[in-house]
Amino acid sequence: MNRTHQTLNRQSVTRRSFLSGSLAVGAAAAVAACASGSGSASPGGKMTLQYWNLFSGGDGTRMVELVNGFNKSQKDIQVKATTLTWGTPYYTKLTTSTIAGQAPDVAIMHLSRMASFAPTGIITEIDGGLMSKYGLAAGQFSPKPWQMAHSNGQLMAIPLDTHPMVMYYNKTLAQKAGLLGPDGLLKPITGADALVSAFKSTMSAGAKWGVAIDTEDVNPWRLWTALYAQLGGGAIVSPDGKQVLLDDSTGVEAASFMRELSLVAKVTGPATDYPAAVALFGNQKAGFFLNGEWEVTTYQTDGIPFDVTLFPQVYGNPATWSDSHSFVIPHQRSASPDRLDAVMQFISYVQKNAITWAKGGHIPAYTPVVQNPAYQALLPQAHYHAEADHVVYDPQVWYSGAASTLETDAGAAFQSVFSGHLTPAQGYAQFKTALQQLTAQKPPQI
Amino acid sequence: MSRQARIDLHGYAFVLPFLIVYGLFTLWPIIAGLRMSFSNVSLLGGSSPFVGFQNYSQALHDPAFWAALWHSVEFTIITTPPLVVLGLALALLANRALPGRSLFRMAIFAPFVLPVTVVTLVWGWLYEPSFGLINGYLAQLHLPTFGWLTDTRTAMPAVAITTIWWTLGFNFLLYLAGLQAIPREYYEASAVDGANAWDQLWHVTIPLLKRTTVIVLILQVLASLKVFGQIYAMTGGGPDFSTRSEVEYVYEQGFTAYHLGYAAAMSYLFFIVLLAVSAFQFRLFARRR
Amino acid sequence: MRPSAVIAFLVLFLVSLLWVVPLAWAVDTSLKPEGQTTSIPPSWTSPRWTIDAYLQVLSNGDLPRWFFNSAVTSAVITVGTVVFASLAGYALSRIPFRGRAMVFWLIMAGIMIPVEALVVPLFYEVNSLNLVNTYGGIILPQLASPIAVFIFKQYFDGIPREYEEAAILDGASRFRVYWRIWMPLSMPAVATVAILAFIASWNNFLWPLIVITGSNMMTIPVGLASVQSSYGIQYAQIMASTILAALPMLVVFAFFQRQIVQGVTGGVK
Repeated sequence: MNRTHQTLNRQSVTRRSFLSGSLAVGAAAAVAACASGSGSASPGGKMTLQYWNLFSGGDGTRMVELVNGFNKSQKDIQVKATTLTWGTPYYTKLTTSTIAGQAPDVAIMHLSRMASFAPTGIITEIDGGLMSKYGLAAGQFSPKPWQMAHSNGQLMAIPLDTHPMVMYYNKTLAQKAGLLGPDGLLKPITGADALVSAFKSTMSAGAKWGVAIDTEDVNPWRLWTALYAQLGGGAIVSPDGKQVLLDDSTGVEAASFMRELSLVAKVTGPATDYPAAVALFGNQKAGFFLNGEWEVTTYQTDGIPFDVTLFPQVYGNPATWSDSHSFVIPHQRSASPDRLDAVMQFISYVQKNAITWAKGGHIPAYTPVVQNPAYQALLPQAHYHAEADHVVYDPQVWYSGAASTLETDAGAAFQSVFSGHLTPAQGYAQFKTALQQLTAQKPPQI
Repeated sequence: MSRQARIDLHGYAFVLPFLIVYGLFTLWPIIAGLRMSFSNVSLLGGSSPFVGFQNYSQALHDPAFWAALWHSVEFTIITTPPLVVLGLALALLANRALPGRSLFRMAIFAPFVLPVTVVTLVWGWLYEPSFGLINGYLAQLHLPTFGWLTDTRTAMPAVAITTIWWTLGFNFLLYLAGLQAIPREYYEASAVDGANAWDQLWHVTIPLLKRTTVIVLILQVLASLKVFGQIYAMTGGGPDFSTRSEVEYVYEQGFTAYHLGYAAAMSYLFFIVLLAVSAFQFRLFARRR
Repeated sequence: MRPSAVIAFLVLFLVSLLWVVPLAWAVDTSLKPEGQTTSIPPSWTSPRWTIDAYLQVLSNGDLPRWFFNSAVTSAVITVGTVVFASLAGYALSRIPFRGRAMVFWLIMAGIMIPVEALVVPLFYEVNSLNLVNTYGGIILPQLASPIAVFIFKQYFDGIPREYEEAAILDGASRFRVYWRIWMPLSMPAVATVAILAFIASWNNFLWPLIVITGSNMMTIPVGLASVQSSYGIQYAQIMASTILAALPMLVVFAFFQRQIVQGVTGGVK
């Protein structure tokens, strides 16, 4: 009996010290449990702003440059940028963090999402007076993004750029295929057949694929939108989003061209994801690349001989898909004028230095930069910034926009057209059905 | 205080810490969720009007709900047999008093301790259609290559293979422990009776492993039906929603589309399915015994 | 060796080799310069090896912070689970209080409840308590484990009463009996519960994904899935971060292999 007690006592001592150690950890964690992740003041009196974006392509480097530049340019504000995965994870996090009172101080939002975010109270109205304090005025932004940045007459975002879908081409391969003009630039290619044979000719010149296309996620939607617009398709839903205005034969024809590329003429892979498409062009295994312009920096860093031109005119009307990035200020439980002021200071810096952002491929929305000769001379940007005149955005309705249900559903349907899992008619029908269901739904309540 | 009252006090004092956390974070959500499922509450807050069984009926008429349920079932069907059979097979091999057995055990079980994101990133890289190792080897052997995670025919099998790599070690361990618990006398007795190795396997080993198999099956089936992480991280439910599991659809509806009430209703329907499966399994195995 | 043993050895050897390939390939990729990672056909060799990817990940990313978050939350969950469940299991096994059977069935019913079915109302509730994106929000919902209670109760049931009766005759309080006698005797059960709780909480994905909104509060699984490099798709860095993320658990596994194996198999028994 006593022996048992003795043995147990020795074990108890170790048990006790273990438990007190873990209680200490627990206590520390309990204290930490009250700590949260939102922006705070760091020692030294500096204000730290939390800034969320989704720039993980070649343009990401440029944003990092801008943030670092801002942080170095003054000593009172430190901006901490976080890059989250593009797509629904980003917007879901933005929403849940705002409802939980843990929103970042400033975030990027695609202007195509204005209709889904503005009525929800997640983003707040921008103070025009604060804007002018830091030298930003209404007339200084490109008209289309500026209009899209408003909802119900209120300014809810400050546009940053327009980023259309363009066409990259490999100069060496194009040269070998005889596609370059005397000025060393791509000769204009018009019409579906001419385009396909141009792609094919680079394959004869040694490329694995004539054109690299990301056939996954939402990219097929973008392509389809561009083609549909080029065919003269017009708006696909009514302005209130409740009626489908699709023209079936046009829709199927646009989808058929996608199938033509991947399965008939076989100038692009039937199932290529985004990283592979980027790398295919980067490794000079593709003659062309149909994508947004945001990978310009990637290829400049890779050092390959490339240029960028307008999205090809496959059909009658010149048109391409585009979207715009903008800065938004999420709703905070307790708004702080000092922080808002700092945020505006940061936004103003980025706008004024948008030429750095332009180097990432984007077309700045801030016109003083666009009109600057330094920007006009930037290559390859100069070869496509005229694109901004012919762009088609996603319908401005609540279920549409970057990484929205509309884009996801459309992307899924048209991905299957690329892969051959669905015929163009089937893919289009699946998309149309999904769209009809969306028009019948009620927008999320506030 | 009476003796019984003092005992009661002690008893409740001991269970109280657990009951508090359990009540707050397991029981209360069950009730609150039920209430949510009868309303149209949105993630964005605001009013939550009572709508009765509307969410439930909407779910039952929602083809995406049934498709997602089917995908969870499909996933369970294609992962459970390999996980059980291979687990047993490897355990049988490892049981033959081999040198290096603990190294083999370590190699096969190690993936189990990894978080799902590590597993999916590593395998996503292996499956990469242009630069991945798998297509690289297939191409070198002049075999057809696939867009593993981007082709509707291969996406679910690809996720299944990843899951098998990740979790086989668990079943392997359980079977190994079960095998080592079988007394040698059974084998010796059956050998005396003229049984060969094959007979021993079927008539001694497998019957005696029944308890282990039951546990493995029950755990396996339930865990597979609840699959979320691998699918979310590897395919996001694609391509063309062909891998979207029930849990993932619930997550999407609740947190991406903000329909919390609808997501809650679907969670309860799914819960009923899980209960039914568990009950069925218990009856099946209890009867056998 | 008998021929069948040789074949068994060879098969196991090959299978183990196959099992190691994915992680080995990840390591191989992580040590290459970025341009080499996308060579066609893929190759195990590289003209140059470098640890650049690791240096980049460690200096630019939030990985060390995520590791800290995972460590803190898992440690608290593990200790909390063991303490709460063992207290409850002890009472259910050893204290004949009124209503005990009902409490027992109430807790056992919880084993059937999948967390996945609760995340929606759970988020709503955690948000009302202002615990979103906090350690509390991550930890509290993971503390109550009915299975752990079951394991402890089963184990306590199997320990002879004599140990306890003598101590009670000596005038020891119930808590003292629990603490000084039962817990030391239950080390196998404690080990099982602690290991299962640690692995489950470290690798938990769905709930942390929902409740954590800021990148500096993320645990490793959520961080890896949510945060992207700002520098484009860089496979060497992605693989480097997965290896770094895998290391803690692999190290724990290497050192505690026997206990983990016993814990997993013992707990299920």
